[in-house]
Order: sequence, then structure tokens, then C-alpha cells
Amino acid sequence: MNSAFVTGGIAIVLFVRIIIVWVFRCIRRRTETNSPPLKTLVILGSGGHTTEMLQLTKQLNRSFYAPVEYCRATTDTTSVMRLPDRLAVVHTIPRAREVGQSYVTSLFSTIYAQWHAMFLIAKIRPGLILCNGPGTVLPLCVAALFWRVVGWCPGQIVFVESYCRVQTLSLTGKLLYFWADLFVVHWEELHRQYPRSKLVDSFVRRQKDE
Amino acid sequence: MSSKKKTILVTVGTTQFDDLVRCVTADQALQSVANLGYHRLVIQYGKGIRPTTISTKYGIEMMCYDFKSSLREDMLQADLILSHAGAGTVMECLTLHRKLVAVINSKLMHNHQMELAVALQQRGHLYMVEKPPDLWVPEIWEAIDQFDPVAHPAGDEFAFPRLLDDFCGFSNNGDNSKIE
Repeated sequence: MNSAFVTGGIAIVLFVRIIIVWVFRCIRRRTETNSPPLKTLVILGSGGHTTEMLQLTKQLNRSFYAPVEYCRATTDTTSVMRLPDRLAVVHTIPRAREVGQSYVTSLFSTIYAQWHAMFLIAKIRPGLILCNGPGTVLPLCVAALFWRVVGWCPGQIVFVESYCRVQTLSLTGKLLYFWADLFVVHWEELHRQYPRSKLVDSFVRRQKDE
Repeated sequence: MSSKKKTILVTVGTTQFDDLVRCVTADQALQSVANLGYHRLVIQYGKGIRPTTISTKYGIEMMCYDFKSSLREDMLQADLILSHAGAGTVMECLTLHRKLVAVINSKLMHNHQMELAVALQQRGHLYMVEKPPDLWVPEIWEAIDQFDPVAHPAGDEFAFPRLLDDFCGFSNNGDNSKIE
């Protein structure tokens, strides 16, 4: 009885340990496994998030990052019109929660969004995911982490905090800080508080229309 | 050059900020504006209430509209811009090298937009007014008049691509990768 208890305990600890090691091994390995071109999924967050994301990705070397595919929320209809590449593949995901939606129904819509994200990431198999919020990116990041632990795709996550954030991270930023592979901020103030982040100090050009 | 009237543009972006519009068109503010030699006041009031106080007062010609597809022209025409602290508007003004006063909407709680305004003020890129009624204080207008903004540096579009290349272990030198 007592020995069964001990063996069970050890088994659980080992199992947890294996998962932690596996997750962290997956999170840590990077430069060696990347060989261009890297399939890149850019998540468009709508509004100001999309503006920033398009600005960030404008000068990416397309011989390194290819093909580039995009993802937007079903309710976001304006982002697609602003893409530089009219022929780009654009995926859609349902929103986890609409503004003003009640918490009970948002539980179901979150589960639905997560379910949808799992299939989408499995289908795309991105090597790299670029996102900058808002909360709609979370199901995709969870899905990417899952498929990476399973070994289906590399799905490295790059999160760029909004230029508007100087002193405090957004909620999405706080959640992704610990498991994004590359976490980018624009301000020295934030960088000092979050030493794991990388500072892109010079990104300031943010014109509404060009 | 002397024929051009000294102009102030007030803009609230895509939202509404009636307190700003109300305070800037009140006599207390207009007197200070006139003393500083401004003759035109252009107000973009967004989704807010159309101001009823539009006329010519203290030699200041006022005009207003709700939206324009681009404020760029009006921004370039203006000698001074009073704006809400929204990132889009603030960055557009700074990119166009305009003298900018960001007025904080003190009625918005948890207003993280204020972070950006404070940071830009600390670096001398704009002048920040903490609440619209401060525009009734003549000393504030004196300070605005004397404020000499530090030009905002142009953004490096390659900063993020460089960081990402580095993270992925890709060579930053494009020629090398093509030889491989």
C-alpha cells in the first residue's frame, strides 16, 4: 500500500519533469534548427496592432522568411485591405471574446477559438509566428506550443509589445513574456523591468496612411 | 509668409474628446491664444458634439469639422497642434515635425495612452497638458509658447528585421545567404 503510494508519487514527479524538460528543450533550441526559408505566420491584430505589424514586417528579407502567411480575426475586415501583398494567404480565426460579450458565452467561444486554432496551426505548420497582440493571438500561441511539444512543427513565437506600452505590459504581453521565444519591447523603461525582453529602440515611424 | 495666419489645429482623432473642444473654445483659453498672436483655430471634433461656440472672437477665426480622410494637410498648415494622446495621432504629428501639445483625457480611467505621452514629454518631443481645464491657465500657454520641441528621430525600418535575423541565426549579410 505504502510502496504503491511512493511509486505512484515518483511516477508523477518524473512525468511532470519530462514534460518540463521537453517543453524547455523545445523552447531553448533555436538557431541550430533554423534554416531558411522559414515558414512565417504573421498575426494581424486589427487597428493599431495591424499598423505596427505591417511596419515591422515591411523590410523582412523574403529569402529568409517564406512563405509568409497572415491570420486575422473573422470580425476584422479592414486588415486584409492593408496588406502589401494582395496574393498573400490569409487565414481567419474566430474571436475568443467580442467586446461586451458575457462571460458565460465567452467561455464557449474561447473553447471554440482554441479548437479552431489547434487545427489551423497543425495545418499551417509555421516555423515562426509573429504577433503583437491583442488577446486573439493567445489561442494560436497555445496551439503552437502544443504542436511544438508534440514535435509537429517548430512554431517559435515572437511577440512584439505595442509601441504605446512604455511602463506596463499589455495583458497579452504579461502572459506571453515567459514563453515567447523572442519578446520585443520598444522602450527602455519596459526593457529594464523585463530583462528577458529585447529592445528595438529605433522603431518610431508610425504613420496612419502613407 | 506674413500673409499666412498663425493657426492652431485641435484634433481628437477617431474618438471623441468634448472636454478638450469645450475648454479650448472657452473665453479663458481664447484670450491666451489671441495674446500669443494666433488668428485661426481649426477643430476636428470626431464623434463628439459639434461645438456651438464657433465664431470669430478676440480676432480668432474658428472653424470645425468632424472627420477628414487625412489630417496631414491640416497638420502641415498648423503652427501648433493640440491633440488627444492617441498613439496614431501623436506619432503622425511627430513624424511631420509639428509642435504638439498632448492633452490627457482625465476622464478616462486606466488610460495607458498617458504612458506614451509622458515618455515623449520626458524626451522633449511634445508638451503634455494633464487635463483640459489647464488650458484656461495663462501660464500654461506661456509655457507652450516657449516650448521648443526636440525633433523625433526617424525610425529604422531595419531594426526589427535585424533582431529577427539574429534570433533565427540567419546571416545579416544578404549576399552570403545567396552563395549558400
